[in-house]
Amino acid sequence: MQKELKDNGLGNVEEQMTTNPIAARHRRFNLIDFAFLCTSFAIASWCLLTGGVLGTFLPANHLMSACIIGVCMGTVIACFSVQGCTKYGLDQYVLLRAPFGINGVRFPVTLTIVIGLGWNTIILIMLASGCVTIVDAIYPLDESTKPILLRVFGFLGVLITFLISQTGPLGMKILTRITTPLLLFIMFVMFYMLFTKVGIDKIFSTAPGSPWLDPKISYFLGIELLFGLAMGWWPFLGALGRLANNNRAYYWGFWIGNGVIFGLMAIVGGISGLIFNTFNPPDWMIPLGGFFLGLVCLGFLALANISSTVIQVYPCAMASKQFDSMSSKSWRFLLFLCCIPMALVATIIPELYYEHCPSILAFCATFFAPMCGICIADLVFLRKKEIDVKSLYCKAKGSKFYYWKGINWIAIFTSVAGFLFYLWFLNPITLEYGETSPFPILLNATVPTVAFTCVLYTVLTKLITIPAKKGGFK
Amino acid sequence: MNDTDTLDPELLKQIEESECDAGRTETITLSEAIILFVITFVIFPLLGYLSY
Repeated sequence: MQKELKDNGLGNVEEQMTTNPIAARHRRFNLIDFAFLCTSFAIASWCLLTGGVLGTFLPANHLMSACIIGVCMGTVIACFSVQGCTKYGLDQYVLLRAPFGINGVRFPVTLTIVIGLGWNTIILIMLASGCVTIVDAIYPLDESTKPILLRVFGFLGVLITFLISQTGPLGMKILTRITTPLLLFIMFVMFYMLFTKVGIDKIFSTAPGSPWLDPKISYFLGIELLFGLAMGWWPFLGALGRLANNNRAYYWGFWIGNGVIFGLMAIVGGISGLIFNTFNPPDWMIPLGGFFLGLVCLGFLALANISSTVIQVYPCAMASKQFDSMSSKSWRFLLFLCCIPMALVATIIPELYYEHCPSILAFCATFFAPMCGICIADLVFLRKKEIDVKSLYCKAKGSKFYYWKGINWIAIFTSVAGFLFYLWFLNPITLEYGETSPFPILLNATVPTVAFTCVLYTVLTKLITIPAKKGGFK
Repeated sequence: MNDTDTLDPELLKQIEESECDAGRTETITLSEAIILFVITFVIFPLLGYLSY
């Protein structure tokens, strides 16, 4: 009876709540199940936001192809780097102990927390902006009241996120079951409105409001930003990928859910952003949907935003457990710590921070493209996908992944070199391509960075790590 | 004594099961992988180029 309760069609639930490996025999997510799981993870308010960012500087035909190309390519590269999670049923942070070391894994963990919370704050400000728009539509506000309300709603958003996150995966599951259909509803309504109210001719003839001088630069920057978003999936791929019962489900599931379906959804936000020249969804929902429908969609979007922030803050708090000083702290305390920076930004500089949303997208690629390159070199090319799982869990000096006092300094050095290499191509803050970058712009910034870190890590490992008999390479 | 001997017996059992099952997770065929690669890295960019 107890066995039946544990294994209720979704695999052993208790195993999935720990960082212990899940053997393939205990996993129940086949290709279709896994594609649905990835779709519900990918479809969130960030679809409208990221598409909207592209809509401000790309015409319709370019933004459509940029949405699909960028996110699909990035997703496949990111999936390729951590395929070991599916092979052994490992949590990503456990798998990353192989390239970064037992203690060095805190480096990618820290980056994950920073980017995760940074992205969450954007979503919270979008939530606050939507709430201000709703209040303004019902009871017109004067301009001096709006910034105050924006901060109040931002703070309330953090508070609600903190309260719901405490319920853990159960709360997320219930929330996504409600919000995913609501978001799909918003997408279809807005898609219908775009083609009936605006019309296909106007969509394809509208010029973007803030294009770069060179249309080629606009186009490749669009692809690059969606690449950045796909790189932003990277820290979460392992947590989901270990539930897929084989790598066919893993690759195709992510490709369909996080790639194609996400891309299609981003197109809706993108076209709206193009027509209304703003990447902020609350700004175009009432003009597009009309007063009543617009308000309903804004209400749904607010709920979806809460769902997105809960989904993101949960892995950030989980990741913080990788630090010894945090592992014994209560779950509530970890969530509280994660919520503090979000509350500070949402109440002090919401407008300034929200304006730089495209930079957050670019920063995802800046940080995670080098990580992908290192994982591909270490786990796929050097270890040939064969990992000593026991050593991943052994924190003693004798572990193969102890390297130098628990840290693989080669991986850390390569990561930093990768960040600098990316910055050589593209400045994530100004979104300007470097004039001195060595390759033509057609190559974008993410792919060369992944390739560079992959080669650098392989060379340094063969020159230093393997001769020093560290890392358990054969 | 091997360092891995200090691991929890339940964890060790799960690790052995996971390593034992690792082979059966690799079900994607070469042709499927090529199709995925070609769609993503050839056809989509080509369509993008044509739309440009």
